[in-house]
Amino acid sequence: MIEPQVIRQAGEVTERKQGFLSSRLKRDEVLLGYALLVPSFLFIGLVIGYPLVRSLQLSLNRFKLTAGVDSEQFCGLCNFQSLFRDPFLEVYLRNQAIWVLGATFLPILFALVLALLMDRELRGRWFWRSVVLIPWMMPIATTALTWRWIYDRQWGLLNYYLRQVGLISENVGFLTDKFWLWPSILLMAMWMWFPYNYVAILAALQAIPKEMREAARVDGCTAWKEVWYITLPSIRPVLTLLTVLGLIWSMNDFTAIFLLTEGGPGIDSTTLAPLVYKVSFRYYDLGKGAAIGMVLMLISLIFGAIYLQMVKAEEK
Amino acid sequence: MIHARRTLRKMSEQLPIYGALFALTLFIVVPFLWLVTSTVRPVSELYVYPPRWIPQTFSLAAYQKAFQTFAKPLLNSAVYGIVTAILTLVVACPAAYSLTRLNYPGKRSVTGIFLLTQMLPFVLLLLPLYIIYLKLGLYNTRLGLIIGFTALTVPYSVLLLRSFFAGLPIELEEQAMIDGCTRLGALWRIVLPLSTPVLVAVVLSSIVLVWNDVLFTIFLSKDLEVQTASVALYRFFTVRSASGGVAQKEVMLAGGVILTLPVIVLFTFLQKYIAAGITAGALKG
Repeated sequence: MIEPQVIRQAGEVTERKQGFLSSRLKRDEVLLGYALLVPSFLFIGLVIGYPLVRSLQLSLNRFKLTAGVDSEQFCGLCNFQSLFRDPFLEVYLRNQAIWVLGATFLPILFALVLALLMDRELRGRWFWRSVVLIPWMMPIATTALTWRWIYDRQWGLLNYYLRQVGLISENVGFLTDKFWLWPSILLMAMWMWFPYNYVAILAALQAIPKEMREAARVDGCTAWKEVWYITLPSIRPVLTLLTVLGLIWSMNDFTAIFLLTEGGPGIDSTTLAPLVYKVSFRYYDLGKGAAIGMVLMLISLIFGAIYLQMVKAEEK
Repeated sequence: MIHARRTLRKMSEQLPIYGALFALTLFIVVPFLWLVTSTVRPVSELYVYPPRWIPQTFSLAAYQKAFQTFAKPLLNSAVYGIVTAILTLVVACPAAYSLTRLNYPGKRSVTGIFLLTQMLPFVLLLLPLYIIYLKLGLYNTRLGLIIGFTALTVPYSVLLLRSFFAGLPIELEEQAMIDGCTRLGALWRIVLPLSTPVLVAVVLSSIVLVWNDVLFTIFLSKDLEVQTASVALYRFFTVRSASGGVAQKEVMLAGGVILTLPVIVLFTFLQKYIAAGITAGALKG
């Protein structure tokens, strides 16, 4: 017969042993946890982390390559001051506002209309679905090239059709004319960015319970009322999410405008991201270029914080 | 009879919907069709007024020239895409596993860093990156470009993988570890085989990112020898138009179509995985 005392003691020993073991296990787990992160942080550190820190430093220094490669000198907020005194600041900000709002809301609006139309039993569903994905599949270089060709002053398709309809009497340079410039840029933005929004909105539409709509219809709701009172409120979370994402992406986007107009003519389509490039790589004012980038980053981080809050709220 | 009348009524109700759909679809396909039809004609028919939708003579001469011009950049794009995708998996899977299954201080901030990288204006990074690439001898090299691409794909992929791993039942791994599997063994033998859809989504999005990238390649390289097809196309259309020559337009347009074809093939065959990638709650599409 074994004494209860002994059993208890044995139990304590195992407990103690387990405690020791688990603390060792825990330490191993912590080490392994960090070790597995190392490779990804090597890449991110070199390509994103270091340049980010260096940009922050540059934005606080006066550094113009035209004054020499070793002319870098701390100057506090001088670059930001120079940016806010820039005589063209108003133009850049106006461009940025047109671009960000247009390139965010036009694709969402187009996607919404398309998704509302597609969310039903359709003949040739497969066909409509594949067609919608075309702009998504085109690489942006091809997209820009195609639209440049459509907008071509002499041989462009758009000039021909607008003249046929009588909207214009002679050929227009869509990417050089002050009036047509932004509508042309935003038309391309709408065309190439609606598919992502469309896929997300359609998924949300299909998640609305059928009973809700049927009930509305039984109560004599017209199609318009159904959309306004049932459908739109149900997909509001997705729409807000897409809006914030769109704002962040278009805010930081460089490629679309760079490929279509290079920010021109002059500075007429220069938004902040292409401006960073122009100031640093063409005017060699590295400090000011970095400062503009910093302003851009701060704005997108504010939107980023809003986005994260929304995702968190959604998860709850 | 009644049946026929009902279908007729249904069709007339739906007519405005089909009409609207048709109009929107027209807007979506016209640019693409115009691009394609512009490439299958002799140059003489490219510059005609009024524009001709259907060429009088059919010619693939533009494609022949485009293939010669873009062969090397296309090969570069393909190689970079595949290498970047593999490297991304090797780097991102352990990180995502660490973030879902292991406990250590600072885990939330690490996730935050990955999210943060998705919201940065990349132009801001280009100048310092350009300088450090010059210093390290990575500028204008294949290795340098692949490192840059991988750094771009990793954060997004980690987030994607993380949300997928978190949805897998942990019991299977615990079972395997009781049977003597190590942590990494569990990742390799249990988690990864169960994650095929999201792994394909990661590979696919990495390849497409490399294929479409213009920004990084332009700033981190200068010779067409090492550059990707997207950048070759971009350089071709800016350089040509800057020098005032328009003679090569048909080659550029054909190049644009060639550039799109592989993406269409990938999308068509792997459509369900793309949907999986989007619904996994990833940040970027």
